[in-house]
Amino acid sequence: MRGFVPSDYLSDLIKERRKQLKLSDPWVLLPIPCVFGVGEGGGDRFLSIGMELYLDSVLIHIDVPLTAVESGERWRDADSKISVNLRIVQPLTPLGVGPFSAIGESIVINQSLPSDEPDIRFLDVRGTGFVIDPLRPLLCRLRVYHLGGLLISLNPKARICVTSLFAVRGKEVAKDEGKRPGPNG
Amino acid sequence: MVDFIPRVIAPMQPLGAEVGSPAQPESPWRRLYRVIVPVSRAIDLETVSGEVVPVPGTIYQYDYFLMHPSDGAIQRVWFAASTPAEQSEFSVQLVNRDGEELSEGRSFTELPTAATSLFEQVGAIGSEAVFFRVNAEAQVAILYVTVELLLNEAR
Repeated sequence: MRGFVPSDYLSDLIKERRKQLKLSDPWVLLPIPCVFGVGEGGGDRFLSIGMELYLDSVLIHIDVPLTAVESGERWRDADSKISVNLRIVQPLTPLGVGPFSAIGESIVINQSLPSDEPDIRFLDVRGTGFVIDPLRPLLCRLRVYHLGGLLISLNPKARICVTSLFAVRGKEVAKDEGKRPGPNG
Repeated sequence: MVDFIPRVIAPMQPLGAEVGSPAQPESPWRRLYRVIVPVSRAIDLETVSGEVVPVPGTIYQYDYFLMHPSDGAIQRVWFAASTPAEQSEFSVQLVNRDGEELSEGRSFTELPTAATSLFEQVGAIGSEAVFFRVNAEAQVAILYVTVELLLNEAR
């Protein structure tokens, strides 16, 4: 049976990235997805802990505006006082939904998102030299701010789909080694 | 014995730096690689009592679903808690759907907030569901769990 190969903007980006990786070593581009839905003003999504991973890139997809309301085929009444921010962080003490911690938080990416229109973003993280600390949890953290400082709710239809792509390097093995290891190794 | 694969495999140069250079001729044979991938779950320790309203000081047991490992083998399991709360009894273990042990148990008196290796070289456990058994008091804390899953991939 043939695999399902979607064709859209993000898939094409991932495909292109895979081609680049295949030019060198047997890198596997591992996606870890998370979704932020209707709003309590944001949230945290856990990505990983313990493993020393290399974050390659981040894909962000907003399918409908976060604050505007649907009116026929158009969106209206976007709230320009809304600020939406996505970060990939390693907090010393993971916080719940609330303001960003200014102290003790390593920021891998920091991205402002449009609140009044759909959007697709591809963030190239490679080359930033950021090393993920395996001792701390890696979280994808979304926060929504009103300029007055109040947290507000998102458009109930809005979703922010985030896929973090981690480059994992494979190790070539001899063919007779390829059998699945048993319970005792 | 499964080969130990170093977990720190950072690229020597920015990935994709070879773009534009001539590609290596493809081997007519498919190559087999081993990769270790993370499978992560966040567990809300407030739910350890299940449907029962938690009573402070009471120890509850709950099996949280981790994954179906399919063709993979579990190398390590890491975890950390969001808050360093004390627990009169806190233990974790990997079990299958029938509650049979897949690993040894580990006990703590305090929830560790730094990454802690729980189990090593658990190995292949077929395709049956793997659960993370927690014996704990219900608390406002998140357990961050990452399984290192060893996969064979043909290219």
